[in-house]
Amino acid sequence: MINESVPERQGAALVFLFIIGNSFVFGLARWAGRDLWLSFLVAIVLALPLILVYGRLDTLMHGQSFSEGLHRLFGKWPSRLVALIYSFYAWRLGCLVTGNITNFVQAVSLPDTPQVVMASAYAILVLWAVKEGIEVLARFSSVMVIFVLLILLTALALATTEVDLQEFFPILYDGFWPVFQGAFQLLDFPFLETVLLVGLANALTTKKNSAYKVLIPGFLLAAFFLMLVASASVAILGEEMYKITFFPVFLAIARIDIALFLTRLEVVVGVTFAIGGFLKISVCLLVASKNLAHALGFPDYRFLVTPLVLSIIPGSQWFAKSVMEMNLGATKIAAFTDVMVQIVLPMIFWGVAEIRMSRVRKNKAGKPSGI
Amino acid sequence: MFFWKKAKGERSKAKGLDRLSTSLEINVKWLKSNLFADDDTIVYRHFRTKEPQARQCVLIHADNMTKHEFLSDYIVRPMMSSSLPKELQGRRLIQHITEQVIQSDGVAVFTDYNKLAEGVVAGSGAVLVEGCNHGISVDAQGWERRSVTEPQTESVVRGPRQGFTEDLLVNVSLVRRKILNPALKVKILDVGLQTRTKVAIVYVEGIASKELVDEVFQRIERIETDAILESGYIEEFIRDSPNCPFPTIGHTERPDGVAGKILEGRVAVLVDGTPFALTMPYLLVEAFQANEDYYHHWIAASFHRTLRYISFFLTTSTPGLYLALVTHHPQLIPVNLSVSIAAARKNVPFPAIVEVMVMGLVFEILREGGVRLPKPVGQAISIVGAIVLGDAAVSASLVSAPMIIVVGITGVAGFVVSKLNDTAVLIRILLVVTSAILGIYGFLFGIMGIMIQLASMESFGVPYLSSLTSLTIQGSKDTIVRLPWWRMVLRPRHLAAKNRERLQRKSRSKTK
Repeated sequence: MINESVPERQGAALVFLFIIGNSFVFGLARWAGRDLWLSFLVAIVLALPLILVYGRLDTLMHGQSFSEGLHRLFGKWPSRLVALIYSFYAWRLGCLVTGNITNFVQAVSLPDTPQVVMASAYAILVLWAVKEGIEVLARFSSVMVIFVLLILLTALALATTEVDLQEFFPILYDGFWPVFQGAFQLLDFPFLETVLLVGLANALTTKKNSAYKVLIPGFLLAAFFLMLVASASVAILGEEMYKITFFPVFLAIARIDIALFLTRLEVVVGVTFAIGGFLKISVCLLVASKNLAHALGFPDYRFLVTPLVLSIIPGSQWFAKSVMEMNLGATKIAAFTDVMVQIVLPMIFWGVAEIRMSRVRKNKAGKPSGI
Repeated sequence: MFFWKKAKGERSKAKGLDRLSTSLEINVKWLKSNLFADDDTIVYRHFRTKEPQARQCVLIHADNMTKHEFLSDYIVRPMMSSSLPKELQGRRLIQHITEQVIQSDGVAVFTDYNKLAEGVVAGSGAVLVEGCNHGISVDAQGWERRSVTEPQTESVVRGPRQGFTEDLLVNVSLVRRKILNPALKVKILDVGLQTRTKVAIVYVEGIASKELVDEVFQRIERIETDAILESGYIEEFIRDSPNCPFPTIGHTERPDGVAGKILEGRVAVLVDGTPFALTMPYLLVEAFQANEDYYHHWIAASFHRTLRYISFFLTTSTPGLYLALVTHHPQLIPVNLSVSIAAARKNVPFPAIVEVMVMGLVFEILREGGVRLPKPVGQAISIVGAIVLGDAAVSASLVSAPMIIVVGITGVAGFVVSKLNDTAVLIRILLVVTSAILGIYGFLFGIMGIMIQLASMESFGVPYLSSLTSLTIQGSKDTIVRLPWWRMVLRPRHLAAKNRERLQRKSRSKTK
């Protein structure tokens, strides 16, 4: 009856939770050690232009999904191939995040519960959420983002008694190289995973040029928040401890002890991890099923959701076999596929789209059009 | 109301006769043997008009549905004391009587039996005159009414003491008294094939969106059922997400509540025969609002609001969280507390989930038992239940003492948000089950599932969570907190999209 579109802030909340997602419990940018805050700044500066490109792509294909946009850019078969690549990338990411959470939960709180139980519980919820669609996910995140921010900021505020700012000095003792290594790791995971939101962000905005208003604030907020959490962890644990533990944030929050009453707050980390991770898995699976539907030539994606979501249960066990392996995977520096999917392909799309657009503009001056 | 026209048509076809005869005797005989056969409450008052041209007349009405003094003072007496000119016949005679004899403001002329019968059963007096195949229906409704009193379900410390009654027109007048503006529109429909209950759709033109009003009309017009005995019938027919326990249509007994809602762009539906008015669309935040919030100081009101949200969290989550902590994560409880809980549970033979479920069930039984009992007995039930049963259960080591505290908190907090009480019970059970399976993560899954459900719900096209998800100050002005009136510049975005400004510019700062 009343045409419901998601306001930009809800979209930004979704982007925020997507980026925070599963990432903040890991020791992000651990290559940089005590200089990780510099890595964050470098990564933010490097990521911003790419996020702008994602926003521009969204604007260019306004009103179309990612796969429709691809179709108009490259024609039938090449676009199907690209959609297949993105579908696989999204599905693999979904599996990884699920694996992260199941491993995390088994490692820190439910050691006797098989991971499959946890993964199945996630699959049920994700199945439901993906079938409801992106608007519901955006509303969900705009409520949850308040809780996540409140919980983590409170935890950090309570942790100030444990913070030792001397841990950050001396600055750049090991030179610039580790800082760049850390920055590249941050770009790969989690900043540029935002590429999956291209084509979804336009479902999240009402006005034509507002994809930026969704992506940029969501990204910046998430990036600074991650920086805060990671820096606080280093300041609490010290560089060496930060580098060798699997879940430094968890450990840092666990150190909080106020009057013997406010202790054991690490569970809140688990809670926020579970919420953010759930949102990330849902978005991944939504993108995966939409792109797969395009790749296989189906007009509707909904019937693909169930098999894809169920496949993350075994997939999570395959891609994240153990806490150790998962940790290495999460903190590696830029794998080839990630560079392709996050940087090279979007740049190609952008270039082609701009050329097409200028041609369209020349042909039909004044008439607004998509790609 | 095409369906009832159709039903009417079928009925008169079956009887074979529907137009009035010119003979009074035939008319009365036909009524007594057909439409009003076997009905002893229908009164036929025969009388004659004044000589010389005296005519035989009859006044037909249903006993106790009409005001007797009104019928005798304004219909029977003037007709008996006036002489009707002989040359007037048929339609012109009836016109003469309505214009010059009967002293009443509500008069209608009819020519068929069905109209007559409909009027009579609804409390009108019907006048038939010998030699004339037209009749006059005069509004004379008068039956026992409950007076306007303070509603029992929504009593307030500060605020008007008026509550709706069972009479539709009284209720409409109560709302109209609050909004003295011709833009307040009241449309009345008849719903229910057998009961033909009057249903009033009330809204403020220019604030409520036209699409919303049309939608409410369409949904109510689509109802084809035998009976509408309470507004709950309508609610169930027209609501969104009918299988979800969260209410998507609100109900209130208070005229000030209805006035406040329709001034924000909602539509109210008042049903004859019940003091409960429906308001739609209904959003989740409304369950946590009380009309008293708007009469108290805004900080106090915000505090009470926050208290309600906390209470709702407590009543839904305490048993689930307790279970998760005790069974899955005892390390998360501070050591001293953990020890005392363990000591209390040492002699209890059941696992914690059984304890939680059984105590929850007992509490719900006590509540259900207390609700409909006469007051003195109800008190006895609660004393027996709360003190005797609880204490005995603990000393017999059937349940642990912390469990009694958990159930107590759950129960008391549940009464704070009474509009969601039934929903809270179901959520509580869900969370207990999920927490029992996966501990704190199971609890979280339960919460996330509820959030997905809430995020996917709509009420008359408005997202159910709309104010909670706006993430702006102006959008959240009336949610967990209530901002002062001089800060509530705009009406809710989804309800009054076209006419949003409710606070004029000069009042936008505190007027000193």
